[in-house]
Amino acid sequence: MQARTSPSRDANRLVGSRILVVEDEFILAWELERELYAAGCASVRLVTLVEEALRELRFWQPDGVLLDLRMRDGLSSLPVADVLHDLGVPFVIVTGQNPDAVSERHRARPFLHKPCPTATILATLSRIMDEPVSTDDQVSHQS
Amino acid sequence: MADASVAAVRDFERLINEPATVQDMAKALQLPPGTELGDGYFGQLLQALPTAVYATDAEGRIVFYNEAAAALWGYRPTLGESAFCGSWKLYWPDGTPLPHDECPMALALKTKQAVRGMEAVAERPDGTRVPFVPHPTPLFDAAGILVGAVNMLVDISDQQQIEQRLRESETRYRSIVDNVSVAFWEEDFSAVVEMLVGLRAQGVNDLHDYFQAHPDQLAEAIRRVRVVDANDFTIELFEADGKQTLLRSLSDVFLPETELIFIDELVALWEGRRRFTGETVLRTLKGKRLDVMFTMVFEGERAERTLVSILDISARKAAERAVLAQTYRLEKLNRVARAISSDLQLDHIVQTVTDAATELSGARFGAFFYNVIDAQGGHYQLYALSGAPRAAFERFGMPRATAIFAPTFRGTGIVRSADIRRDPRYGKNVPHHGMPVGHLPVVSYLAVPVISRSGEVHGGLFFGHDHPGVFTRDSEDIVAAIAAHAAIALDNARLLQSAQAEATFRRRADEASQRLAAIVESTDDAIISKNLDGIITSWNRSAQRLFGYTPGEAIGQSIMLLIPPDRHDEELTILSRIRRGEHLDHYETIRRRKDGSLVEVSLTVSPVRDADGRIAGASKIARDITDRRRAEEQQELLVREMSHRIKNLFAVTNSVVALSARSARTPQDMATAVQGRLSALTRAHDLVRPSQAQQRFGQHASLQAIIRTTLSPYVEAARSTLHDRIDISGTDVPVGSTAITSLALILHEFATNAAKYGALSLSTGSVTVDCTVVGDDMLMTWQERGGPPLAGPPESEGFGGQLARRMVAGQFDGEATWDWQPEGVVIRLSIPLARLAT
Repeated sequence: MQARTSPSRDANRLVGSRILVVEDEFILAWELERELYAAGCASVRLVTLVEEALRELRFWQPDGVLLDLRMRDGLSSLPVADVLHDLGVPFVIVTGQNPDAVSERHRARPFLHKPCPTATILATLSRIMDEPVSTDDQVSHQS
Repeated sequence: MADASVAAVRDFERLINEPATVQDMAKALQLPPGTELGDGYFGQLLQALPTAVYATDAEGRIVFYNEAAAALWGYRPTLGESAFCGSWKLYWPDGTPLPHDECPMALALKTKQAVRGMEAVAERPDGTRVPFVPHPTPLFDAAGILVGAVNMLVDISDQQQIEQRLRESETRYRSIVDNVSVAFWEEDFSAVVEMLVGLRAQGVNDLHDYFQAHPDQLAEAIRRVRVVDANDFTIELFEADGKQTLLRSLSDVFLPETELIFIDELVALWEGRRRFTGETVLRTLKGKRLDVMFTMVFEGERAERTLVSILDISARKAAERAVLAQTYRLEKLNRVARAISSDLQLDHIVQTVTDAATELSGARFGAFFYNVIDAQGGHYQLYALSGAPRAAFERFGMPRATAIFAPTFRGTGIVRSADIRRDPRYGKNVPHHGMPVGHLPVVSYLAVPVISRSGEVHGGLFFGHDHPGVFTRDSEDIVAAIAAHAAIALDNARLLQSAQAEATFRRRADEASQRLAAIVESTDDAIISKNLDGIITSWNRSAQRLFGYTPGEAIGQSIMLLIPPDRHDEELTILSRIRRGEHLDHYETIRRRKDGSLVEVSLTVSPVRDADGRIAGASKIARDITDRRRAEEQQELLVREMSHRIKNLFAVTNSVVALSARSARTPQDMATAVQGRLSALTRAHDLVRPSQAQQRFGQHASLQAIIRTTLSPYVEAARSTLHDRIDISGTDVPVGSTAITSLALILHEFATNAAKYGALSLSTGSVTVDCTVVGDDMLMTWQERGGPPLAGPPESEGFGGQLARRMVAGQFDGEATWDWQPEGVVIRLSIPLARLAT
């Protein structure tokens, strides 16, 4: 039995997109993965460590990122945010922490407070993304 | 001069009486009238005489006179003309005119006899008068025929003056004697002397002893004194009818005390002394007592003329007695004054004063009321009483400021009444309108305020007597004097009280300040005081502990010593607020220690005022808040941690619900699945409680514990048979909180699966879970036995399997393998220890 909400118009941008989920609680990431695929994403990658995320970003540029701030061992994922910013990749911060945990640089980014309904997360992500330009595994520079 | 005259007269008489010279004289005198005497010896002699000498013929015509005669007469008579005397005019001593032809010279010529013993007065032409004594002597020739006379006039002016003065003084004396208040007696002691002679002959030595032994003899002696005369005053003084009554006997005026001094008089006589003075008492004939002072002079061989002067000194004696009484009172006053001046106890002073004043004023009873003002404006406290018991006053309460008492309690004046019942101020006030029934009877009344030097009325002294007119001006004065002393003594006692109170206050203040100092020293808070220039003025032990400076190093230095350079302006802010009288409370800042290290402190700064209320500095309490800060930070982190975890768990819960929904076939299934999963999560997370004692990020639970708790519902269920159907063994490794969720969910899936389809679905089945560490990995082996026999792997991977597989790989980067053995499945998990630990 599945309860499924239809994606909104905004969620249409997810179709065919490549999404990176940075989340150290796997069960949450798994949920997001399921929903992203259901929304039409072409490729979803899950990373549970900051170093894993940075490694991925060297070789793969997603169209959008869901970013949990506080990672395992208390490490902050803000370095990831910095890289995403430099790459021009849109991302949504999804975290249990307070907004003041976000550094000045990224204060303007969309901020979602856990627990947050998955539909909301997806809708926010979709809204900030452009139409996917390229197919899988192609690094493209977002303007 | 008189002696010279007498001598001259003698010479002259000899001269004229010696036969050898008479002839010469006669010859000389036979010269015709008008012829002056020649230089003969006798002529010179006569001229040289200082006494007036002149001669006349038988008819009385002056034939010779010397210079002295001319001087006496003040006139030079013509020789051969003037008759009998050369003086201008003559008078008898009593002033009646004396014709020349009746003068002594004329008489001598007429009677042919020398005339002696007469006096006359010559008046000169200028009116002056000369008293003289003439010595007219007739002269005869050889035949005895009268030829003339010679006269010597002796000027007795001086003598007369002396006599006059004597008469005058006598008169004066007489008048004194008669008019002065001195009694003069003339007594004859000769009979007494005779008696004394007789006693001496008997061998009596000591008159005092003798007369003590023989009082009758003393009476006899007294009786022997004969009173000869007495002056008028004596009669008056002794209240006699007349002189005669006085002259009867001395014993009429003697009192028994007089006899003693009489013996002393006899002793004086006995010892041959001529004067005796003394004081004694006598009595008048009417019995009045006289205090007298007397002088006795024993005149005459046998003291037959004894003169006694007696001065009545009764008045003086009475005055003396009054003076004595006054002296006594002044003495007493002095003693009281001295007593109370050295007394500093209020109640002593007041009682002494009341007693003394009551005695000295002559009162029957006296009281001192202390001035105590109450709300009604006048309430006076009975303090001391003299002459009556307290109960007599106490029944009536305090006297209030009535008309009669007002002057005393207001200190306006002394009230003295001979009869208070008649005083118009009396009897005007409620409730008694006068004297309360049963009050001590007061007729004479005296009230004196006792006023402090500051003008404040201490209270009042009140005296009463049941007789009228007892209090005199004197009583008033003496009580006023006592009141003045009392006021000073009360002032002093009060001063002492307030000095003692002040000393006590000071001592208490000192003690308080010592206690305060002790508190300041012993407190754990650093207490520092500074003046308005920011100079440290005090430094307690805790300040030394906190900042590292000793008091010697810190006191006198600027407070900037403690302030890091970047915060120097803070001090200016603090000082300006202090100057305005503001406090600073719990101001958190950073200060610098002696070793340069910084310390976070919380400051409480208060202004300190001097005795005049002006702000003189500040007092700072500095608390080291490093620990607190750290704790706060820890707590902050903890709270954040908690918050994060909770939110995370809610998110996890959401996911659990979502995935349970996906895999469940019925709502019931879903509910069961959700409940089971959440329950496992709860129990697993319960193993990890946040604690500051543990590592800051990440709390750990033990793997074994997690396994146990996740499986516990199944362990319970599996206990229904004799043996445990789930056996957990192996090494234990720490599991971080992030790993717990996944691990719990994975194990829960295994157990749920086993319960549904595997070993735990049959009562014969059992599960063993074993963990070992191999290299960097943890290997967990889940072995089921005794369940339904398995033919082989299932057709498709179940949800649980999927979950487990994905989770092991995704969360831990580990591996899970299922080995479907006929006895039961064997699941092998391989998880890197590093991933498990976070």
